[in-house]
Amino acid sequence: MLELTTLLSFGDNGWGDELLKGLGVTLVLAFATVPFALIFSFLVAWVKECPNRPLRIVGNIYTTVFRSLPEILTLIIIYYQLQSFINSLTSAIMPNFSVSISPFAAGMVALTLVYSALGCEIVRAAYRAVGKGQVEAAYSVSLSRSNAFFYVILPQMWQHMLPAFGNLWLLLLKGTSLVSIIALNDIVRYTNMAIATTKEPFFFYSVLALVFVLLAFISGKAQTAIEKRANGNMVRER
Amino acid sequence: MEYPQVNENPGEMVVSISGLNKWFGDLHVLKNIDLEVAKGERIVIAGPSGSGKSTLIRCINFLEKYQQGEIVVNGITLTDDHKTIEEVRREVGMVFQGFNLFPHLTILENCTLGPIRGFKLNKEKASQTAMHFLEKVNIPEQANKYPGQLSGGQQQRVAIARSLCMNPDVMLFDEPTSALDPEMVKEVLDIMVDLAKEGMTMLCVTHEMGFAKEVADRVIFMDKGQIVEQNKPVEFFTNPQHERTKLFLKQIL
Amino acid sequence: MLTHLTDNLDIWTLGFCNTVSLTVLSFIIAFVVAIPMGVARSHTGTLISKIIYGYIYVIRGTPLLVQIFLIYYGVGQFHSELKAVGLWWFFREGYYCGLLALTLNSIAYQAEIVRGAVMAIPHSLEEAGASISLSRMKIYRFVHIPIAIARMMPALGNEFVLLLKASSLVSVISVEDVLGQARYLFSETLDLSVFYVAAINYLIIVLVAEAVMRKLEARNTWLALR
Ligand SMILES: Nc1ncnc2c1ncn2[C@@H]1O[C@H](COP(=O)(O)OP(=O)(O)OP(=O)(O)O)[C@@H](O)[C@H]1O
Ligand SMILES: [Mg+2]
Repeated sequence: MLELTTLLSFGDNGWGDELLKGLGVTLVLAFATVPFALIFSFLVAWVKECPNRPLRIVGNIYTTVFRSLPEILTLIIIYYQLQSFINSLTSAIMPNFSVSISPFAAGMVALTLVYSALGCEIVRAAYRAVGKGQVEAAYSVSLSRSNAFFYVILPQMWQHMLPAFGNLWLLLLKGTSLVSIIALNDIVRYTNMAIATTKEPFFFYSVLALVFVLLAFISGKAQTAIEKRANGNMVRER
Repeated sequence: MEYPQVNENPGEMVVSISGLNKWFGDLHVLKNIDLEVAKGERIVIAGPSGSGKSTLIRCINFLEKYQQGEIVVNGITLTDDHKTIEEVRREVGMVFQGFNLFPHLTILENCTLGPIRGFKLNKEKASQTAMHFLEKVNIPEQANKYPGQLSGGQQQRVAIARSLCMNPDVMLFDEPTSALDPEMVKEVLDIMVDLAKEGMTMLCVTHEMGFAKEVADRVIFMDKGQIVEQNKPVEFFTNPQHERTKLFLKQIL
Repeated sequence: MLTHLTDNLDIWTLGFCNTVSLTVLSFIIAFVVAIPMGVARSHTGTLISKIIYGYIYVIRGTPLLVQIFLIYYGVGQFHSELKAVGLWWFFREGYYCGLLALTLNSIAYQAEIVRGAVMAIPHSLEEAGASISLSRMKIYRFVHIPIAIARMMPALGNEFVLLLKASSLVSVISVEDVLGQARYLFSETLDLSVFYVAAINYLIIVLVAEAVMRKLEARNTWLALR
């Protein structure tokens, strides 16, 4: 047991620093994806609710596809397809030039697509939960459509979205592990490297699992705190 | 009892509706509605459930789209252009059955949001106006509470104040008291009577026939999307012309 | 793109069968295990309910990928011990390890679904059942269970689709499922379109599964009418 824990030490013969570096990459990827996934969730929700029928159909195809495909398959397709697409663009201008898209960027794109397809349903449900009456009241005091959305609807939507987005964040956090498969040096990949040299898969994967459980725990605490703040000044029922 | 007509310019129409037709899908809910509302006039709209009363007054501030007809509010002809709609909504206040206060804003903020965001009034000026109207509806002391902390009657009074802050030329009421506990109906009706006394142009959908008798200049009876009959309250209640009106009055009185 | 499908029809067929069998088997086994677990979990406050909650928390908190690695490589580390107890044949096979990981994973999610349904059973029905002189067993059989199952349906359908998608991760321990076969063919041909063939495979299974669910749920419209 003692030998095992030294494997986690920092420095030349321990893997602690590498794992920490990998954890950093995992977290940066997750945090970097959040704003894009959020914005796309709203965009797709808006497209699915807009009066234009062709646009709505596009929105429905988007969500059907990205909710049906395994995340890992989406990731692989984005990774290779983006690469070949960009290369076919650049090769027209500069023949002997080839770019390789970073796994980090591919991961961000794929995770954004996948989680916005889920997130848009959260947004739509929250919009419906706020209710038509609020929109009408906002219009009746002559707010424009954008003012009605930003000052009346959106502030009330957070209350309904936060629990579901908290869940989505946990999914996203776990989803980042897939990016190790397309060679991003995240915590999973560093764990695999550690195992390749130390031949201690059970120990290292257990540590890895523990790290994720810990992240889930911290996220849960953070979520409760945020929800408390968001609901603090809004008394709905007497 | 007669209230003074505060109409300095008789014949000036605040709302005029002509040839209004509306369908929900295949359902023809408003059929050839013509209605002129003079400045200072107080109109009560009555009729059985589903007759199109709400839909009619919601057309006036374009909360409902309509397919045929013309609505002119204070000289502005409604079109589906956003600027025009916002302009018309400035002239028209609306009070809903379910209050529809903004639960995430304080009472004061509920009243100032429209003026500040809608027509760019500065915050101080808007707050002053809001306090003035909150006093008028007798709840200035609640200004910093949230809607959820108020009773239904108080909320509805705030909703009236919120509309008044827009300084509208006409007020629309859609069954403002029917979601209230009986003991709270009076406090809201009193405010409405005060408004009527001051000469506010009002269109009220309501089943409060006492209110109609007391303040209305005209009672309109709707059924199946049509204006079946309209008359002065005394005539309307004592001497209804149509079978459907008689039946309706028998049921509610 | 289509030539990839027709030229390697046997490869794709095997992949399709493996994906479907992995999903269906783990779903059914997990359901059977999840019922007693969900019922036990619905008695909140008991020790066993807390233990089950711990299990669910850990499973839901960790990526399935890590769970698969832990079972295949982690447990596989102890092969001499496993051989001694006669389990090596199981943990040697990617397919079995994948099946185990998917099952353990789905148990956690399905137990929560079962718990939700159990807790939503209206107990007023017991008196109603007794008043028409049904025995306790019969009340369970004809009143509680049908209501609980009808309530679980949408969530279970959802879980099935999630499990199907999740099953693609077994390709990382060299199981020949749809994605595994696609990755194999890609390494042979370097042609991206094999992944689109795989995508169509998954789309078809999901759309069929959802259509079946809608048919089954249509029988329970009374639930929405209450
Ligand atoms: N959004 C809608 N979509 C479809 N039909 C509608 C919609 N709103 C109202 N209707 C229908 O239009 C008709 C008129 O409705 P409206 O709400 O104007 O009636 P009302 O006279 O206000 O009735 P109540 O006294 O119940 O409020 C009804 O038959 C109603 O079912
Ligand atoms: Mg109505």
